[in-house]
Amino acid sequence: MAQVFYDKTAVQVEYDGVSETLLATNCTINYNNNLQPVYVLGNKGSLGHVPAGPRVGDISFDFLTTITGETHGYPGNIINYLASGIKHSIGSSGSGVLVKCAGISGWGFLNSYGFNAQSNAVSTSNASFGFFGGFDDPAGFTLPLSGRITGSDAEVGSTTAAVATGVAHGRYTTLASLYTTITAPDAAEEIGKLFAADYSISFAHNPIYMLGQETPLLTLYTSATESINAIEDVYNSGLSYTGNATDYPLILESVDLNALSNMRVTMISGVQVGASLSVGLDDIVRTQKTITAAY
Amino acid sequence: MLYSADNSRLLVNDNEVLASSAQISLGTSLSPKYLMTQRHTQDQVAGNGIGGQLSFSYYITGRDYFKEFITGQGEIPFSGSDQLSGNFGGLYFASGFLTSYSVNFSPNSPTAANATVSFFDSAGGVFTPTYQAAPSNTQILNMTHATVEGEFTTGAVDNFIAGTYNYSAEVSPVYLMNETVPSDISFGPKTVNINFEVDNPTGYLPISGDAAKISVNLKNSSATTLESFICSGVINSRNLASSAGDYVKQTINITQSALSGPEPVVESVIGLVLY
Repeated sequence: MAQVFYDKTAVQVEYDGVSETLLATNCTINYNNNLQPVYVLGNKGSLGHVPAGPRVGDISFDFLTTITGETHGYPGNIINYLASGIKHSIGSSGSGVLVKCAGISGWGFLNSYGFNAQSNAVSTSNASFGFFGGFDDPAGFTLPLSGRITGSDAEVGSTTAAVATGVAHGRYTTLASLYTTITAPDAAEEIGKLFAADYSISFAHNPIYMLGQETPLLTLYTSATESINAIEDVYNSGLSYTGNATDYPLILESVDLNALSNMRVTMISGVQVGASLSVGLDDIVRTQKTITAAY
Repeated sequence: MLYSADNSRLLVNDNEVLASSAQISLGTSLSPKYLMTQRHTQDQVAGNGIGGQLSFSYYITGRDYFKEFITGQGEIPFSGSDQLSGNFGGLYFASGFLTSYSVNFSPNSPTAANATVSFFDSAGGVFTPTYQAAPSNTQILNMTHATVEGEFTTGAVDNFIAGTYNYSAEVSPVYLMNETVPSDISFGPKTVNINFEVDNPTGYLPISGDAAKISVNLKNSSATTLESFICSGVINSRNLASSAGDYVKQTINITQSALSGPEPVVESVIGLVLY
């Protein structure tokens, strides 16, 4: 049975005994080997294709930014929990998490994660994982990806009401830490109005391969790069040359004022690296500042 | 007229080599002849005979033909069989000698070797293009199927990440008076070394070296060993390196200078007994 409708293809992430079904709106799984044609001198055409690298896969999906979940006591969705854990990790080797969609599964390493927030709109997130394989425990994950297309019952169907108010929304999400404050010697203080913001973080993983086997010996986590783009109405012409490292706590709220939880992300020692200004017909002057941090 | 790589076959001892690249180079030993009080001269004089080299990279498909020359070439009794003739696109030489050879061992990669054949005469012939289709039943060995075994006097190595097997030989022409091509060839020392990235960071390296042996067995997809590269000698260098964003790489180099006769035996170190 390969004809599976989208309502039977939940994206599920499992880590350390916690399993969460994400409110994904799309999902793409790629699987590639590394076959290269071989050409030799004096012969027209290829000798054939040979492996020049291992098989690797990846999965990427967009999902609604759910904030009422909880993973090991931390509010928010499991992707946010993983991203926070990895970026603050002082360990070198990554353990990976189980990612499933439509019957295809693999042991993946978080490559990137991001979300957006804008006025009067539902926040959406995105994530991608890389699959390298090489896991004997649990069994069945020696290869990067396995399984065949099969449908499964959606696990969020009975909790629709809770889901609707458990998604981050721009109505009450202020992201006040991103407001630009301009203080000039001869003018009053001016604080920017924030219209929208995009957050993203990407992780560098380094699978180590050895002779005599296709899959990696281990996969190292090396570094992370975090970025925020904030859309405002003030332009910081006094952009610092040396940077001004600041922590930026981001708090995502839902439309339910009675919600007991919100989701937090804190950029540590972020520095503004860019400021841009643009204006078009029938619109106000909008500015964008870019803040980055590295871990 | 220009030709492509498809038109330039490489033959060594009349065997076609599945080469991914090749180059043939020729050089004289000319130097300017100055007389006293001269700062300029039109005269160039030869100080030695013509020398040439054929260098090529190729894929290993089974038992490697050129590896036989490591132990056979230049050994007593000397025979003409250890000479190599070459023909690259129609340019040929009749008698050359393997002076360097290396094989790269890289994870998940086809096994590739590099060889250099030195010869001491000019190349004959003219470039003659060939037109032929690639063979369809060639199997190129891949390092995914390889096994690596190590024997060490001290320490243990669990994982072999990547490495290189190298061979080099000194080959010198012997000229007689009034002749521009050598009448004989003098073979000097031959050395094999293997350089491997391993997983046991340690700084132990005695002044006399540390006996070790590494064997790399190349296998086909049916796990049948088709070729082996063995270096049994002493560890003469270690290297520990890393860079930001990368992992710690420990590399050892084993050198072997005796390529004939009994193989050195790796034995355990006799413990120091205190009374």
